[in-house]
Amino acid sequence: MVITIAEDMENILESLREDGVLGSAIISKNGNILSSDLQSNVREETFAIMMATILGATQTVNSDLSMGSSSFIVIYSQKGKIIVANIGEKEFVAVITERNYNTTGLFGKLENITQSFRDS
Amino acid sequence: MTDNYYVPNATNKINEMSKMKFVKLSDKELKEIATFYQGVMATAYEGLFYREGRVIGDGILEMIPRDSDILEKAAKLIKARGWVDEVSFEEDKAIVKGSIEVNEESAAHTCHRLCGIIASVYEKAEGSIVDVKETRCESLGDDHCEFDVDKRGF
Repeated sequence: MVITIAEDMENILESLREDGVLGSAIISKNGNILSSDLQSNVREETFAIMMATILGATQTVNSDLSMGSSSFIVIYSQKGKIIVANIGEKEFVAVITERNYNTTGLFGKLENITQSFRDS
Repeated sequence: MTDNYYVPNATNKINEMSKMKFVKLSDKELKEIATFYQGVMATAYEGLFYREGRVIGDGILEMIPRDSDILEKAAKLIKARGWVDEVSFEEDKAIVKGSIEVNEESAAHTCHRLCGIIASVYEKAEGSIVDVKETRCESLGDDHCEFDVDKRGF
């Protein structure tokens, strides 16, 4: 699959929908929402820049420690998880899930999405 | 202050402005701040600076009296506040000379705050949501900075 247009991004987010996933978004690394499937109570603009800041800070730490670029960041919280996947040179995906959601399958999907972005 | 800044011809605005305080930052300090933030959060700093610009732009717009030509007055205020040497607003783009955010050592566009300021100005003037993107930048050797304005509507 080659990622070309906004419709493709919507399809990607749709593929992430399942029980336990509360929302997801594709975000540029400078903090702009490119496509979103987030609940209405999420302030998208704030969410996007915060996620970009977390990913950016992680990139800096990894660079300082010569650990290469980060693939996934998982934030475990009392009531849920946020998974950030570094899918492209300029884009990443953030997925919000329930606390007990099993992320194993999600990681596989996100790796496939990353491959799609590399091929496009 | 009134010698250096455009002051609207409304008493309440003058009173409001007379209570405002401003700081001055040099272009060198701004470059070092940008380098610092870039070092902390990579390209995410661009988005934060853009949002800073939106806040600054909204503040500038508050100084413009109703029934004024928003683009004309905003251009004067942006220049007076030291963000640019010259700025002209056209139908779908803004042309800037001498942006204070220019950094000749950068390998990418650098005028992220100005981008946010311009977005605020166009949204107020046009009454619609706009996307603003810097397409030329003096940081990259262009003779001016240029910002494309894409009107999305509400």
